[in-house]
Amino acid sequence: MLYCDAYLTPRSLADAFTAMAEYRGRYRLVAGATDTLPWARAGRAGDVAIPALIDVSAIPELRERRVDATRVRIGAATPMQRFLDDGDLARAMPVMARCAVWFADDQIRAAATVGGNLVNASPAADATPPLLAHDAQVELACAREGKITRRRMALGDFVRGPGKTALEADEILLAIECAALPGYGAEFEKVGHRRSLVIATVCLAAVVRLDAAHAIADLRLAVGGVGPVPCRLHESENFLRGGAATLARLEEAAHMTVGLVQSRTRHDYRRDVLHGFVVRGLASALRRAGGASPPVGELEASHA
Amino acid sequence: MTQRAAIVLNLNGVDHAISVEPRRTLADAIRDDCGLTGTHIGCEHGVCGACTIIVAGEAVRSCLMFAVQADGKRIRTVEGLADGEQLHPLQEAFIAHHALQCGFCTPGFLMLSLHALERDPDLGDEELLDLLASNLCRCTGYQNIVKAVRGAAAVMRAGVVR
Repeated sequence: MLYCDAYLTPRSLADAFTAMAEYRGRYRLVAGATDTLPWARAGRAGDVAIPALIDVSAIPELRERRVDATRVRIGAATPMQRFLDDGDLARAMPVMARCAVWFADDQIRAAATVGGNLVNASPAADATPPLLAHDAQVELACAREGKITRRRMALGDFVRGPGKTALEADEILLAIECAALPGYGAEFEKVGHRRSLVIATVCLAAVVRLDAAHAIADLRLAVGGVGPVPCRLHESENFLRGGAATLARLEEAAHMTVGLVQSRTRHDYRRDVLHGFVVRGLASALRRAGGASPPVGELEASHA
Repeated sequence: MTQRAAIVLNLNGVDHAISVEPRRTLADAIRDDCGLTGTHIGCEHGVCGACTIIVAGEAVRSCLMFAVQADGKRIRTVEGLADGEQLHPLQEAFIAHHALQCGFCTPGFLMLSLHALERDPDLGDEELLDLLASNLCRCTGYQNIVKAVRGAAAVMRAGVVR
């Protein structure tokens, strides 16, 4: 059972910090709030008393959206559905659009926010691998001695472990800034027990750009669900960058990932899935990048 | 001390001024405080979709949303679907295709489909399956629901939409 005394909706960053100071140690920040009730009702925590829920979704800084040819800046309270609906955003972040298709389900995607997904820091968070592929940075803000200050760090440094981030108790995740990757082909792979609403057992983000000769000019691969934190697959990236996109090379790159699986359970299964995801995800991304997709043989055509 | 919030829920065009605890879900507020019991509560943790309604133009799970989050917003529930005795094409299609048995999940499927078809009446078969995978039905199964939504989409495309 959830007990809660106040639901506050500050309209400015300053008001949010005032509320956070007033309820210091006794509040929870929410935006879409879609995880709050399942978390409170899961029973693991027994009765949950949160004196104040502070809804940060109305703060202008958390609703920002700036897209140009090279950079994207999105407020932390951007709902996941926006990555599908907003054409400019979908072009600049092609892998986030693919990810959003598989994020929760239609109803939750409309409310749940990208920032919420990051701060929950699930090892299987859907949005984290795509944002790692975009070299995302997070911007955090706090109010100390009456002054609002901001700091910035790489997303890979922000997510510290299952449920753990670098966010201090008096901080708010303000925005995410990352590279725009227009013209890249993208794929997001995810497998779980159900088509909708699953927590991924493994998820993978793949983005690829081809050069004029159809060799791989740039690629980024990131995986979730196989260890305590999502991570980039640098070894596979470095191997493939600059080379031809043949099936044999994709297979070799996929083979380099087997040692990365550090999950607590189902190691062999996750190794097989990750291998298959690297090959099939890259094949799809290559096709969307305008290349000829290597035949991926007997790999299943659909998933989740 | 719990601070009750005075909020207004605009349900199918009618304002309901109510007072709620912050923890009250939108689904509970609609059913118990506003008396519109067409919105069903199944799993109460965002898995089944029976409580799907449309808030400010977006289909949402009302069991995961706090009532205070919907203050002042336009909300559409299954009660707003029919025009008097005239059923909506989706409702007609669910009857024609036997898309329900116990009917518990039906309001959620209707509102989920309504939102999707109003946005894109040309929804492809694959997209339709992705969409309907959002909600659970425990008795009829999904084939007849898929057929009903396809049937309704054809009617809505033909411009018989009210």
